[in-house]
Formats: sequence, structure tokens, C-alpha cells
Amino acid sequence: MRVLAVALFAAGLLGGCKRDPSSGNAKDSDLLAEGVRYLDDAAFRREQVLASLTNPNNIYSKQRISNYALGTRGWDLLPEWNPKSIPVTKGIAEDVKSGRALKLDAATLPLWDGSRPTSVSAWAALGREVFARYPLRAEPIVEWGLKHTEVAARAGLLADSAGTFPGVVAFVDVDGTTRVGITCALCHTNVVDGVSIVGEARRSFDYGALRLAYTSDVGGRMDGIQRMHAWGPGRADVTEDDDEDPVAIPDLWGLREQTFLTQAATIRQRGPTALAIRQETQLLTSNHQRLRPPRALAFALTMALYAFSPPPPLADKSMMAKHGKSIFESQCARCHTNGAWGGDPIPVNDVDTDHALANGTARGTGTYRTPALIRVARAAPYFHDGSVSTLEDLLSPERLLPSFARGALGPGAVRGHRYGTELAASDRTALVAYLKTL
Amino acid sequence: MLKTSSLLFGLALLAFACSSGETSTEIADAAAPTQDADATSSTALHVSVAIASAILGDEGCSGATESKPSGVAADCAPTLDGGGCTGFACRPSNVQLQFTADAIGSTAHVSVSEVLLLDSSGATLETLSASSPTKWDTATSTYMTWDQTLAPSSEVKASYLLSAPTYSTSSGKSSFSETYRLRITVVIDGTSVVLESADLNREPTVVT
Repeated sequence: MRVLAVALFAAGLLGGCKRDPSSGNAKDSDLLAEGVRYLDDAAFRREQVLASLTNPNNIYSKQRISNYALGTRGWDLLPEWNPKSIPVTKGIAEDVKSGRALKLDAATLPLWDGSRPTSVSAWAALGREVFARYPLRAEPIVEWGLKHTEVAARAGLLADSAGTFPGVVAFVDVDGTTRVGITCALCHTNVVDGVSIVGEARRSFDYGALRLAYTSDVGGRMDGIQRMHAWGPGRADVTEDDDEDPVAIPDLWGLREQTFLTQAATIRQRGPTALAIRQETQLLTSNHQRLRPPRALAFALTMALYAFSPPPPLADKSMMAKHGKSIFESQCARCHTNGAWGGDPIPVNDVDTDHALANGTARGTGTYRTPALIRVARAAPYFHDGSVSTLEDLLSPERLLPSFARGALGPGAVRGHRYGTELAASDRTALVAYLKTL
Repeated sequence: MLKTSSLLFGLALLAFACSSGETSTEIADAAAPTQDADATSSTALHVSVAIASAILGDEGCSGATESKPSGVAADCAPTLDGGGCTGFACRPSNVQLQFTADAIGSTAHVSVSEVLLLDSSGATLETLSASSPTKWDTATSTYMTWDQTLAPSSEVKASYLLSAPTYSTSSGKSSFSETYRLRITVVIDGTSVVLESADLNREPTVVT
């Protein structure tokens, strides 16, 4: 009997540890149940933050280990902030440009009414409001951009056809003043022909250029930020260390499928709590650690991120694309394993793309996450640092040569991800045709 | 019975194996420098005080002056905390404390008398000043000016502006990768308590 029991448990152990390819499709009831634990169980939050930090020794992790879910000290003691915040419209932007004082209507309510949604879809609806309206911080650079519209437009700070600037809000800050602020949507809502695509990276947004223009205009010192010239559209260095490692703004598709978050796989995602903590602490740190968001809003944001839906893929039923699919399945699917065609981290020495982020003290883990390929055709430039312009270049052996002249960041070899470059040219063409259908 | 206990054991084993398998480095619980402490004031009010957070902002960005700060290169809210970054670009340093008073005793006055910036070895780099005390007002969701009085049975979430560190002279090397701590002396009606923050890094140039 005992032997049988041990055998059963050994089998269960093996089966339980096997990666579940459908983990990204956890039932809604499971998501809601974990949400309750995240919201109401401090010990669970502490356990989860520790479990989610891939490398406990980088700056990102240390900050959370030292401050998160400690009860009698640290971030739990910060006031909970439920802001009054509205999207900036062209009309509000005109007020800013004209120097009129920003003021919200007296009837403006806080973002959240305090009641917890009871379905995943209702949580996601609330989360979309958080995504669009919860301020990351007051941002004088963007406020300046509203006054200098030509510069701002060149930097990708645009209104959509509805007359709203996605990711730009007017809000009552914690000092009581009404300010222009930024939200998640600034970098993660694309504006194409006037239409907002919520969740898609705004690759035209050039934060560095806008900041340089602002700093020059107000007479600030430039020496510490000249490096931002090299960032270009769609890239920013958001790490806490001295390394120069700007990363490409990512799309937010298929997050529910991902077992690791951030390009450097900084966070292990076993369930929605990992992403909720990521969002909670991001809203907290970006607001200079003087407040924390209601956790319900962090969970709502997580449900919204899980629900973001990309534009439809390209349809290609050609033989070429079918051949590309077979190549993908034999050559690529070992790493690009999950439902969004992403996968687990790869040691940086193996993938061998630029090492700075993966080995950086800020968020480094010694690895890069296998990126999701869902809607990869829309996601150029490629690699975590946006250094490759096209899928064709990504798979071309020429990219690895010093004579390569088409790099997104300048001429010269673009190292790393040799996978696929050894294929015959016709196979690479077929593979690209298939990738464009994902 | 055997089945039940074995099942429980198996599930526990499964949970252990799955949770520990991917983690190569042991995560210790947070080290606990004196981030919180208790004191009893001369008015017999027992007070707990704890560090909620601290930000090491930009060099040269002081909330105590209205003049243009020198040596700044970051994004400060122009009127943040009524501080000295007016129309310019810098982010001030600050610290958030929570005071919790018991029911017994009478109102006490609290203050921050000293703030030391320490390096990673615990050596003092410089003394910072704390100013502009504010406390969180739940009704308005804002920090409001605070006279630093603490009534019995009250809880105050306070924020203090700190003078700007001079990192360039503190360590002589680039400061964003350096680790710091703050040692904060709080006086509660004549009784001092010393708090020490967890490790801190400078706020990154672009925070997300």
C-alpha cells in the first residue's frame, strides 16, 4: 500500500512540475480566487513577491524584498491614493498652451468608487480605466510638450481622432495642485491613423527627444542626459543603474501566457498576483514612493492586461506560409513554446544579444526571456533593444557580419539570436511569411 | 488513513518541489534595520514610528530654496511640495514616516532632528535636513501642512522633504549604482528614537 502511495505521489510530482502549456488559460474562477488572496492576505502577498523575483540580488528585487508586504514597516504604511484624473483632450491641451490654470470640474469623482467587481470582465473594465487614467506621476516634460505641439508631434505625442491624448491626464496631485501626468497608456497605446490601439507599443514615442528639447528650452543641464539622443523612438532606459541599456517598448499581448515578465525575465509569473504586484509597485515607485495605489486597482489593471486583444493577424494561406509553419515547428518551437509564441528565459551567453540589460545590476537575471511572437509582424524593430529593423534582417546571416549596414541603431554587426540564420534563403523567406501570420 | 496522510504528504512534497525547483538563490526575509521603533513621550504618550519609504532624489534639488537648483538634470514637478524646483527640472528627496499613538497620555510634539546619509558600509556621508512636514489627509487625498502634533489614538502618515544630497562629493564616483541608507533621528517630546532605512538607491532617471 505504501509503495503504491509513494509511486502515485512520485507520478503526481512529475506531472505537477511539468510546465502546463494551458496555464495561461486559467479559469476565470481561479483568477478571481487568487485575486481575493492577493487583496486580503498579506502573508500571501509576501510569499508571492519573494517567489516572483527571479534574481533576488538585483536592485529591483532588493527594493521589493526590503519594502513590500512587511506590515509594520515599508510600503504597506503608505497612504492609499484613489486619484481624480481625467484624460487630456485637445481642449485641455489648448488651455495648457494658453497658460490657463488647470482645474478639474468640481464634480469629478475619484477613479474608483471603492466597490470590488465580481467578474473578470468587470475587473478588466476597471483596469482599462486604471491603464488610461491612473497617473504614474506628474510629468512636466509632457506638459511642456502640450505647449510645443510641433516638437511633441515629432516625438509621437499625439491626439487620436477622438481628440484625446492617450496616456496623458490632468489630475489632482498629492499636494493638491492640478497637474499634467502620464499613465501606462502613454507608451502602450499606439495611435495609427488617428485610431488608438490599446496595448500596442507606441514605437513612435521618443521620450528622450522630448526630454532633451524640454531641458534645453528651460535651461537645464544637458550633460547628464545627452545619452538620450541615442535612444530614438520607442526606446528608453528605465533601469536603476549606470548601465546604458535602453529597451524597446513592448507590446502587451499575451501577458497571461507568459511565465516571465520584462525582457530580462526579472519577474516569474506563476499567476496573476505576480503581475498585480508588479503593477502595484510600479505605480508606487513611479509616484516617488509617497503613496500606493489601492490593490484592487492593481488587480484590475492585471485583468485588463490579460484581456488586451491585438489587431487581427495577416491572413496568408499560401504554400510558402505553410512551409514556414513547418520550419517554425521544427526550428523555433523549442523556445517559443507558449500560447503567445513566447517562452522561458534563455541564458544571455546562449542567445548572445547585447548583454547589458541581462547582466545589469538593476534588473538583470543573466537571461533574456524568449519574447512572444504574437503579431510580430507589427512589432519591428526587434530584439529587446530594438536593434534589428526587419524580420528578414533578423534571420539573415548578413546581420552577424561587421559589414551589415541595415541595423536599426546604426551600421555594423548585430549580434545574437543566430537561430534561423543558418537556414537556406528560401526557408527563411517561408519562415518570415509564417511569422507574419502570428 | 494512510491514503489521506500520504495524499497530504504528496501534495506538500509536490508544492515544495515545484516552488523550489526554479529558484537557485535562497531569498532571505528582509533584513530588519531599525525601520520601526517605539518611544514614550514626556506626556506619557506611547508612540510607534516607522519608515514607510524614502526617495533619494536629484543632486542640487532642494525643496528649501526657490532659486534654480544647480547641477540638475531630471524631471521634477515644478511645484512639488511647494519646493524649489519651480519651473525647472529636478526631483527632491523625501522620507515618509508613520506615527501611531496609543490611547493613554496626552498630545505630543514630534520632529525629525537629524537625517544622516550613510554609505553601504554604514559610514556617514553627509547630514541632510528634513523640512516641510506634511500629513496625509484621507478626505482630500492630499498631503497637508502639519504642525507635528500627535494626539492620543491617532495615526499620522507624514512626509518630509529632505535637502539635496551631494552625491558627487559623497563618494567621488557615479552614484546610481551605489547603495545608501538613511539614519533618521525622531524626537517625540524630548525622547529620541533612531530609525534606519533599508538599502536605498538613487531614483532612476526614468522611473517605471
